[in-house]
Amino acid sequence: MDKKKLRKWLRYIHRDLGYFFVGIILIYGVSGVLLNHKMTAYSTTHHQIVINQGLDKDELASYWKKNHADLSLKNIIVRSNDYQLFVDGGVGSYQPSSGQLTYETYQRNAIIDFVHRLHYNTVKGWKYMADFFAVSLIFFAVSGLFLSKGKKSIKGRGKWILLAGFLVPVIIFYFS
Amino acid sequence: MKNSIVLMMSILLLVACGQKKSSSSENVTVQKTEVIDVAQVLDKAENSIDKEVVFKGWVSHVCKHSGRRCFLKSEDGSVSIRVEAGGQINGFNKELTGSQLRVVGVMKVKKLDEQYLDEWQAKVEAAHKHEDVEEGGEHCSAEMDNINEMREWMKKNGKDYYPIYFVNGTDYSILN
Repeated sequence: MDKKKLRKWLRYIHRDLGYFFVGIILIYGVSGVLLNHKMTAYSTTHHQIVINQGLDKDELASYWKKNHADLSLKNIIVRSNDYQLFVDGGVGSYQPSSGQLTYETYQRNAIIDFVHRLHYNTVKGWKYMADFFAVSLIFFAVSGLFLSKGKKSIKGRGKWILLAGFLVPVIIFYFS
Repeated sequence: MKNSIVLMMSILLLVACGQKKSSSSENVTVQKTEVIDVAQVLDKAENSIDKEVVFKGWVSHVCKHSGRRCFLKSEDGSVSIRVEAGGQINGFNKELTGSQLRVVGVMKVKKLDEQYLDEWQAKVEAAHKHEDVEEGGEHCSAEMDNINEMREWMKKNGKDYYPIYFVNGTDYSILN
């Protein structure tokens, strides 16, 4: 195959594969930024109140049923200094000595969960798509080197930009 | 152009056919089977290495980043065990916190030997020197207590390692 035809086919596949992967690139890109800044798919709501001191397990359960009926209390474990509460989608504790009741519940953001779970590859069957995407990214990188001709191609100023791109991670890794 | 579209469609079909319909972490069932507690499974842990175990426990924590692991507490709250997501389990949703799960998995052990504990102690002591005294002191003290308890257990039981038992989960269902 001559160079002209090869460049044409690289351009076609680069273009069409590029269209196909726009959505997936956005998923990994958005998820990547969120993960980089440690933003998970869950937000935590903290609650802290002071109730009667010295409640036993049953009294605490009754209190909860009367005052927090919207959040199901599943179990209470009595520990040496406090009680551990297990509620629907969260945990908490009650200190009989002070009456301090704290608990936290977790709420899922469906969109962030969607992108994170794909990025983490915790969705069954996604592994094969992710592998295909990874190989395609390599194709994008390599094919992109040969799409242009002339002064701005890889033979021209392109080689310096390419070199800079390789140096940045090396410098940051070894000299930061 | 036509050829590249045909190629992409073929790959898509291959990926789609590679997927299996299986229970995800959202597809849960409520069961009322009598199973042993976390405390009982840990009592038998030494003799259950690499064997399948079935037990129940209260979810006290789910790893927030990937949901790849959760911690189940025993009914009396005295012990807890780590469960790694595997098999049919894609991951644990954080909303499972507070729920009681029935878990099926394979018992595993990580053995912490003297060398490991020595290196850990050295890291803690090194970290203590660099951290703020008030904050670091509390943190280091708790870790050192942990290490010392492990050493005492090894001495008491005549072992040259401290075992950390965990389970590679293959399936779970919600009991409560």
